[in-house]
Amino acid sequence: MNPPRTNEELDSLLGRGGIGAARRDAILQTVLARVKAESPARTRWRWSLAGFGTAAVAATALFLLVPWFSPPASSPFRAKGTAAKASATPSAEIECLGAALDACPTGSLLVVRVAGVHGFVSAWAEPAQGGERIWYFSAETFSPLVDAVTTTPAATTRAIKIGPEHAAGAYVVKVRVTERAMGRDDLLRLPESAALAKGQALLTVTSP
Amino acid sequence: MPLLRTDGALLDRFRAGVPEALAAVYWRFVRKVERLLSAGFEVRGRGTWVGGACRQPDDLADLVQEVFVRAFSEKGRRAYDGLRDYGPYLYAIARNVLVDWARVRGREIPSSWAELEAAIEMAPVPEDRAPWEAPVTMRVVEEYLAALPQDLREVHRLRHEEGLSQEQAAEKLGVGRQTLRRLDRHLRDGLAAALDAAGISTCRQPEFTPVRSEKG
Repeated sequence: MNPPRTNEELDSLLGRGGIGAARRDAILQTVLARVKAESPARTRWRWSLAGFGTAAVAATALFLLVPWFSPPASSPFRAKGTAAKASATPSAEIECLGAALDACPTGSLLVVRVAGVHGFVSAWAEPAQGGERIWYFSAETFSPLVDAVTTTPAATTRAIKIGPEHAAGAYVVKVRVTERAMGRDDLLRLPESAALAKGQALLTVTSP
Repeated sequence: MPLLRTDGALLDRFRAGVPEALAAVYWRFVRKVERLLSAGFEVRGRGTWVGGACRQPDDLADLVQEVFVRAFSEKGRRAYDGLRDYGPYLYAIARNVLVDWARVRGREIPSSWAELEAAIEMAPVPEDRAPWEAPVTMRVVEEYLAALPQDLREVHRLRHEEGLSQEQAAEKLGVGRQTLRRLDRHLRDGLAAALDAAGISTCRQPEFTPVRSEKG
């Protein structure tokens, strides 16, 4: 039996190509949500490494994506003219649009943002109770290049849809920023010192 | 007609990140950005062709989103000077996104801002025609569209040819958004039935971001 056609597929055909009307609507909603999330009111969701020990961070630890970075002077991106720019402290964050990381319903969009670093973003989720790893960004599919050396505001990457491959439960979402797009096997073997930035966050997926 | 350059009030609201202003700009340019990302472009004077994502509709959706995320970010809004037309600025961002996408696939492409802006003038954006779909599928689509009743034909024109939002299309048709959503659904259901009747099965299941599971 054939799987049902999605609205996106039918819209693409109705538009004789392209992404289709429903997807254009969805993209606008995602973009507006990300613009809204970028507003100063949500800066409480972003921390630098220096602020890790503050009470504010401790109070909202479930939202935290802990950044880690190696000295960026070795990055080839810096050699191409960015070294003179004032570098912001590297930081990273992850957000469940329209919800919270400790209760992120299936169907939501996850956004990964990186600041203070220039590189390719990789991300995946590992079920806290063990099980299949779910890959979001890697060289095999798409590894967004983020230029956030000077960073006001933090650069953004595309959204990740929490699809049916996410069973309800807790996941550890891991993010790596590297100088080149990396494949999954390489990422899993990557020494901590080889990443420009690294972090992880606890994500709890709930049924909608 | 230039949108932001000639409308100071809209420009102010756009710069402030007011959703209605961002939506107005989005709907003005989204189809053009989509076609640009689909077709690719040529860098002036270099003979470098950067291929588009016309055969990767899922990637195309991601790229469109990435363009507007960058353009509508606070940094992106501030970077637009308001003196020149917004279109070329937006298209240069789109070309930048396309270059990044190509680089991930291992291509080395020159991408200075000046080159990306100049490229817009020399690479007309062709209309795409679903090259990833089989001709027999598109024939069924065309026959279905040709036989549409007047109300659905109008919905199709406004939503899928002019690329209007549900709100804009509903306003033009003089109906509520609920009615427009119902007509949208009828349009899709009718096409699905026509494809089923022709024995054409679905060929893909697009998602915003492809994910793959593996034993971890």
